Amino acid sequence: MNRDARSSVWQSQRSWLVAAVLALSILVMEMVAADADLPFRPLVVFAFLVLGPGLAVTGFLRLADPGTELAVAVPLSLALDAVVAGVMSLIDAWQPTTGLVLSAVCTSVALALQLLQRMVIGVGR
Amino acid sequence: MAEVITAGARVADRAVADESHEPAHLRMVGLPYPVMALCAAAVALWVSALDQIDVDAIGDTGLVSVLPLRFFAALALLTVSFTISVHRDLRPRWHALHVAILVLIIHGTLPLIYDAPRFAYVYKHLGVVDLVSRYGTIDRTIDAYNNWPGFFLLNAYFREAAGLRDSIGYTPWAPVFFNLGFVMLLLFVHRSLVDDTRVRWCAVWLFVLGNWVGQDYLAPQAFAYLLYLAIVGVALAWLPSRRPWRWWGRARSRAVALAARWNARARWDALKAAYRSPEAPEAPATPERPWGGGGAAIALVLVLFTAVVASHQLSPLMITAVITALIVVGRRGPWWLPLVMAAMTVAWFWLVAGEFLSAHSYLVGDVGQRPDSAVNEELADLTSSPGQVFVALTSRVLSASLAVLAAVGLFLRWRRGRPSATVVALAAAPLPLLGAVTYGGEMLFRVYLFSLPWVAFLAAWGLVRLCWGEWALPWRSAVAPIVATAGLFGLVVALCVAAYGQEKSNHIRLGEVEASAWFYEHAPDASLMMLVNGSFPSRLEGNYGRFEVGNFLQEPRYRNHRFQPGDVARLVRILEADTLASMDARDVEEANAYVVVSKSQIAYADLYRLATPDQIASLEAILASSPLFEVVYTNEDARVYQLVRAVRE
Repeated sequence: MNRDARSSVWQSQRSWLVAAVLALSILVMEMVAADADLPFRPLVVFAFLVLGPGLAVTGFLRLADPGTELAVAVPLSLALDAVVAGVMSLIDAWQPTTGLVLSAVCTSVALALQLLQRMVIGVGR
Repeated sequence: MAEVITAGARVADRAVADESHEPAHLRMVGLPYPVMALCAAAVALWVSALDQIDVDAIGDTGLVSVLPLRFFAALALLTVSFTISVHRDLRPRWHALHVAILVLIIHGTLPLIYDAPRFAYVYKHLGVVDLVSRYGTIDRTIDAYNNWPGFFLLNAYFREAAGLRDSIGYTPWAPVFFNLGFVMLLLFVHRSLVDDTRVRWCAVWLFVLGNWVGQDYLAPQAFAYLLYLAIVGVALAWLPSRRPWRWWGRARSRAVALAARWNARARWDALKAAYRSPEAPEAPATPERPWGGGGAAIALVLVLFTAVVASHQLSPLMITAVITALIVVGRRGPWWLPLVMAAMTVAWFWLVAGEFLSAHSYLVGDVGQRPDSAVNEELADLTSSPGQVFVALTSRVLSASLAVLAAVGLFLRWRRGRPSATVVALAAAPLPLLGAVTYGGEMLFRVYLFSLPWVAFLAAWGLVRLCWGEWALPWRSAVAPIVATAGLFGLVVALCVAAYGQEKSNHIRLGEVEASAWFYEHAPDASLMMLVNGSFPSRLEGNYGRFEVGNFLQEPRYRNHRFQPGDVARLVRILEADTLASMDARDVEEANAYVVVSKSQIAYADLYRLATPDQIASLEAILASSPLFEVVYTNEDARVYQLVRAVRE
């Protein structure tokens, strides 16, 4: 399979990953809103913080394959999370759950836009 | 019957055809199944070995002294399986499976056999995370951690958002997370250098084997290193290429002309003709450029770099050096990018951490200090701890083996006409910092770590070309993989010795963590926690800035000293003086002094020949028998003695 074909296949498969992370973002918002002390909450929050914000950005970069997408999305997510935490501390508004919800809202909007772009307009590589 | 067998063979051949890139006549029937079986056997052996590890019996050579043969058998099987997987050029998912199992075995063993996170100093990081969680802010007057708080803020953010009471539960698994991240990013980085998947996966394998320096625990440097790989991956893949500078071309022409004048060029050409057989240039599978092109790549680099600048002192310097090398030698990206990165670093050092740095010059260190003195000072008396000498020598042999293999790879690349200047420049870029910064005597190890991705790449190139290259002699096709397996197994055993070599003192017990937590909960502000030595989970609570921590063995007179009842008066004077200084510094009227003795401190003192267990027992004996001290907390791993006399009298 040549690179163009591989890129095209990934762009069509990517919607599933985006949908899954979108669901994860919504789950995070639900958990925080309900103040749910669930045993799997740390895992859900961890997965969101490691993947969510980065994927929200890399979707607009239209990267060609899953390896590249993850390699950029994971460190970018962590960097953005650190920036969010830094800003909360800097402006003396340390509210991690609020920060998480805001991050999840922004991520959800970006991911929903990407899905919409894919489904309605059909833009891809 | 024959038809059934033929049909079965056809199905098996088809299954293999899906998994291998090799011609059909070279494939073994059903090959992925033996690989799967070997991986499963390796995991089963590893799991069964865990029960047999007695962590209380760890000797001077570290964890290897108590690792059962099954553990090494698991690694041997995994190495064989990986070599088969590379030899048959299976699909990347099979290589990925092997690397994931290797990371799990090497870095997942310790969390499974210890009841608390290893490394005494990781608890200082947990203390900063707790400080942010408790107070929602940082205190830049306390220590360097609070002046580069990015990673701690991130952890506190996760901890609070996840509803965790503390960070101790996930801390032991940080090395597994970070190493899997390193692997993922190295594959991305090396894609810009080579298209051959075998080289890329061997490079990852060698990187994991060469990463013995222990900078992958829950620490800002591990986080910064992850971002370093991402930055350099993005830069290599997507920063736009530049035409060479005119002065560079002129300088090169002059150098060539000078060489010809010295009549060296004729000999050089003869050498090249004798040893070189250039191949057609290889096109690396550089990831396609993102939407936004070079601008998006620069934006990504700067966002990632911002998080590094806010998290760690040293890493921004390393990354700036590497990006500079990429721009000058690799001719990628805008010339001003390193300047922007340097400006960001200087701005943080000056505007945020300036006040702290003006009072603490530890980052630069003592002039003339060796860049590896952190280890060498502990090993100064080499004859007294043969186990540690063995560990130190093994780590050097491991690093030297990779360097030799990298040199072979470099030679073979030159022989085949492959350009290597960029890779060599990236590997060498951190070296100048050796002369500029000692970083508490750890600089050599940090430079090694930042060079490792490139050394591993060249070493993998050498390994693959030596074992699976275009060899004319047929016997080599059979022998080379066996030699490769033996070599890789030797390296993984060396890694176990090097990476687990200090486990006698790195092993922190749960009882010690509880004793430390008790101190921070019950001691009045400005109290002194006096340890035997620093191998104790001190500073693990967020209020650690209100207390003082010291240790007796900082006093040379108490090293290898058998304590007598007559020593009590001098010990009390030391405790009182340190406590008074702490009270004055914190403007507190009343505080206590505590002495904490624990198993990991005893092990540390014994390992580095600072005091024998008997000598520390003599200290405990005089404390227990003196009316000036009483035991206020005890468990099977630690005891806390309090000086009962009021300090300000």
